[in-house]
Amino acid sequence: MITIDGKQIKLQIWDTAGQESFRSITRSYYRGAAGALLVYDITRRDTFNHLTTWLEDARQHSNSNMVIMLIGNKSDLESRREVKKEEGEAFAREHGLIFMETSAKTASNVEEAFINTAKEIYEKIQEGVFDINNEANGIKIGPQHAATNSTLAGGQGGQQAGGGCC
Amino acid sequence: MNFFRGVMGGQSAGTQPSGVETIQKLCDRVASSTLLEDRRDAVRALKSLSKKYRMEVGTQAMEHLIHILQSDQSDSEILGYALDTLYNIICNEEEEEQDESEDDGQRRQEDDVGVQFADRFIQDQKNVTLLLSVLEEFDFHVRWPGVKLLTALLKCQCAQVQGVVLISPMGVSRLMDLLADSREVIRNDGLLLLQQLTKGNAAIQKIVAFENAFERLLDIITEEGTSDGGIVVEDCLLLLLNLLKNNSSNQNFFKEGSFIQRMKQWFQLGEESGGGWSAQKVTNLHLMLQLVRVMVSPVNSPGATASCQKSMFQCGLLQQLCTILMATGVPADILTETINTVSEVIRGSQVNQDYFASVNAPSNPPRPAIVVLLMSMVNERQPFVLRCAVLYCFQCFLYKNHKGQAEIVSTLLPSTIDAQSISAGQLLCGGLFSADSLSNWCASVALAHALHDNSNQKEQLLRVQLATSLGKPPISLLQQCTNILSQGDKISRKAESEQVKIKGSKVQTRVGLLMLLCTWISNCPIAVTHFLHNQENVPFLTAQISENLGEDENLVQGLCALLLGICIYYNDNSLENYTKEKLKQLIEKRIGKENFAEKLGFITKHELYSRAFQKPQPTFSTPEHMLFDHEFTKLVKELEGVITKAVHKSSEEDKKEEEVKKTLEQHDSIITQYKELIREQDAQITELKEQVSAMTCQKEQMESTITQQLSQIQQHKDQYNILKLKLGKDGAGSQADVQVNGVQVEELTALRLELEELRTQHTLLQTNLTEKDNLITSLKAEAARSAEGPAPASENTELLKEVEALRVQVQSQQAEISQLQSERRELQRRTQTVSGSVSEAETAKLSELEQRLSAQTAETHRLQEDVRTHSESRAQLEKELAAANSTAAILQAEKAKLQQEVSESKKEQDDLLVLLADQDQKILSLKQRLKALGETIEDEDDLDVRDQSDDDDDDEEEEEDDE
Repeated sequence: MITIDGKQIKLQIWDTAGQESFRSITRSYYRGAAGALLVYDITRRDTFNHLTTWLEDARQHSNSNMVIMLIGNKSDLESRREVKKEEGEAFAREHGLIFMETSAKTASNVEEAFINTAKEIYEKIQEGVFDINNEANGIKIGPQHAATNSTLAGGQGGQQAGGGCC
Repeated sequence: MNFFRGVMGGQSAGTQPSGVETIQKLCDRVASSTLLEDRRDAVRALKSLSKKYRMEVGTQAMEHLIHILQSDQSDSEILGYALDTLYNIICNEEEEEQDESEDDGQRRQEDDVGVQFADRFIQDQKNVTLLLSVLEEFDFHVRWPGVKLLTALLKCQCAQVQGVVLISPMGVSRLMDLLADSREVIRNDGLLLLQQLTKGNAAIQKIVAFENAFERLLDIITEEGTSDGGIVVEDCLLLLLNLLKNNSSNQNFFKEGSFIQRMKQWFQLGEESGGGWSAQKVTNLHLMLQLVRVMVSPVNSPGATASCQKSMFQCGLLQQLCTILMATGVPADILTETINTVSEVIRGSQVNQDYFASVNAPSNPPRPAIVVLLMSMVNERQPFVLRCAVLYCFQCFLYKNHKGQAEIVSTLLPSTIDAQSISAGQLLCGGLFSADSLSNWCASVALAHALHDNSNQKEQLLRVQLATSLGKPPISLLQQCTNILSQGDKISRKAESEQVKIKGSKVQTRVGLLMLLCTWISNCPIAVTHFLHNQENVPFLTAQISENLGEDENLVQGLCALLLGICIYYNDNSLENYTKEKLKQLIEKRIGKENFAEKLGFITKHELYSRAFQKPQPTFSTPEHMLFDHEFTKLVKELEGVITKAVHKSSEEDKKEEEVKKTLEQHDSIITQYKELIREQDAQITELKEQVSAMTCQKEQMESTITQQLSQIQQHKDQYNILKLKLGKDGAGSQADVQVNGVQVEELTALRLELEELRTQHTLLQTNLTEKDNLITSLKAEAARSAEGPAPASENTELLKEVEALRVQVQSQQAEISQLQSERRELQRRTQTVSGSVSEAETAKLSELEQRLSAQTAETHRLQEDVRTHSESRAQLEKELAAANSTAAILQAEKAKLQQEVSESKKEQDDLLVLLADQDQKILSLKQRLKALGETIEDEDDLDVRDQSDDDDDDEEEEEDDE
């Protein structure tokens, strides 16, 4: 439960598997998700390299308006960093994503990542991009006019699955 | 169309070959025909044959039918036939079940055929994907058989089909869409399909839940009229069960999505209980109750269960269930399940347990629900499952509920017994000593649950006294229990009283009582003492264990061994005859250690033990199997090891152990001593460390002060030296200063004199200035006068010269003044330097001098000011002078102008004179000529000329006058 703009928003966060073998299963979650968090591990370049395919998958199977957030996780392990922050930023800029670096261990930016995703979705609702009466978007108006979003959180490399449907 | 005839012929003749032939032909037709209509007819014919010649159609036509699915997607009719045919050959028809008379073996064979065909179909994963894409087709005749076919495939080869569906993009999502189909048949068959699909596959279950399944299913249930709804509701509930059972993620989602609150309405049963319980309704309610139980199952994680229990209480679901519990006319089946459900909703949740304790049955007078339930438990006529459910409910009520345990035990205590109403305690005691062994067992276990993990209540229960019969003194409950055990045994052997024999000899009763006793005295030395206090108990137990009895008695022997073991393990050696040591010797002598261990092992080796150990709910296939209680099995597991160890240790070992213990204790004490020592030393060390640090701090401070002082000293020394030197210099004569000062004084006076001079000079200048002023004014006057006529320029120049002289004078004076000033400044400087070098010793003198100096400086200041005022006045004068000069200049200019005018007018005059002269000459010449001519015409012309000249003359005169 978070509050944006004075409105209570309940996030439904689905953790999907990040391993390659579960990719086809993850596809089932794209429909009906309002947002997704694409998570890679800054200490493992291969997870960063896989982003393109995951992003393609997400774009192909989801609602075109789905908010996608790029997350570089494990920012606490600066000494073992393999992917520069600038690279993440560049990738996000290139593909129109929002970028953040987080650390699940120290909880740094984790809350913000979800709140920012929710904010973005909320803005899109305000703009009328999402039809809130269509549940296939993963958004529904709650009993007290509290919106509910389902967000996929999907991660790669098993650290934290990343893919969130709001 | 002769193949049709063939079909007809084949069927009518009933000979297989013709059927096979026909199918062959039809398959060729399907494969080779180019016309869609022909193919369609052929598939239709295959369909009609597929039931009767299932094997043949399956083996020969499957490839072709799959091909049709691929190539003829545009024609829904042929697709429909093909799907129907495939369904017929794969599906194991339910109709066959009706022919129960048919050979079971043949049926199994038929099943195998279905599975084989399903295998063949699935072999190529593409076929399943193909089928999924066919389901996209909206046409009823395609979609419906498609759904049925997929369901049939799932029934045959569940895991494989699930795998394919899972990895095909949007596979699950597409099947979920079936629930939204407006055609009920498809929606309902979609439900069946999803039931099969979600069986045992957590990943699919999760995706289905993600696709909003809970919301849709609950909507359908509500639409269909909840529990009054038909089989569709049942299907929905089954699907929900599939989704939630053992799937903690979905359970969490269900709870987070506030779906528990929506379950509440299911149990709002109307008052139409007048036999309005259809079989379907019972089934539906049963499933609903099961769903509730899934959410709060004891096997779930404690946290998840607790939060579900909380929300069930908050939304009123528990209250609703309790209403059903106390309602009349509820079928026993539902009632039993409701009791079980309530049990699990309250289990371990203090709030819910408290609420349950407060529920009253709507009887007159109102009785607590617990009492009403216990009445059913100890009632022989109630169904066995119901009695089990009540026991479970009672267990759950007391699970981790010390308050509830105390309440139950207190109803047995003398002080609180209320003779009027029936209490739980009374009912339990009644059950304990009734003739029904099942009641005995249930009551024993129930009472044991009131004592679990609660040593306080174990002690309280020792106070309970029972009045057995009139005239005899009351005996304690513990005593009574042991009496029944031993009496039953004795009597059964002596066969004195048949009634008691039946009661005592029943294994179930004795097992129940032994479990109660074990629970009671374990972890409670006082109870052990009480138990041992009865002289008959130990001999009875040893006799029971040592005897070689039949297998039926194995369990009782084991339990007796356990009880004896507990007596040893929790013995506080307060009774002399039954100390740990003596009891052990007794075992060794009378039973033998090995034998004892073997007997003890009988408990856990019992087949029913492991079953009871698995889950808390008492479920027994038959009343005879009701022997173990879940909590008791846990206790046994806990105690078995320690008791075996305790008994196996010989007295020597014991002694050794004690010695070891003593030494250990000694060691411990030594260690603690050392520890203390270390601690003390530690403290000392820290103290010392602190001291050291304080010292170093001080030292540093000292050092710094020392350096400071040193530098100060050095400074002083330097100063001293300087002073010395100065003194040395000054030493030529200490009067030097005085002299210097004297010189200064002289100088000052000289200055003053000079100033005086300057002042006089100044006054002189001023007078000069005034003179000049006067001069200027006179000049001005002159100038004013000269304005009337040309002014004397010489005077002006004279004046200018004078001014110039004055200026020079002023400048020289200025120079003088500045010189004086600089002189004075020099003097000041000198005095200052003199005063700077004055040493301490001569401060007095110096101050005097300084005073004088300051006075002098004040004077010089005054003088300076004077000078300034003088220079100011001089500047003023200069200004005045300049003003005078300028007026003079103006006057000169005016004069010059006038002179010019004069010269101009003179010129004009001259011109006129010349003109006049000319004209005179002309006139003269003309006159002469006229005269010469002898004419006298001179008048007019002469006059004109004259007039003219007169005028000119006048002008001239006037001009001259002006000048």
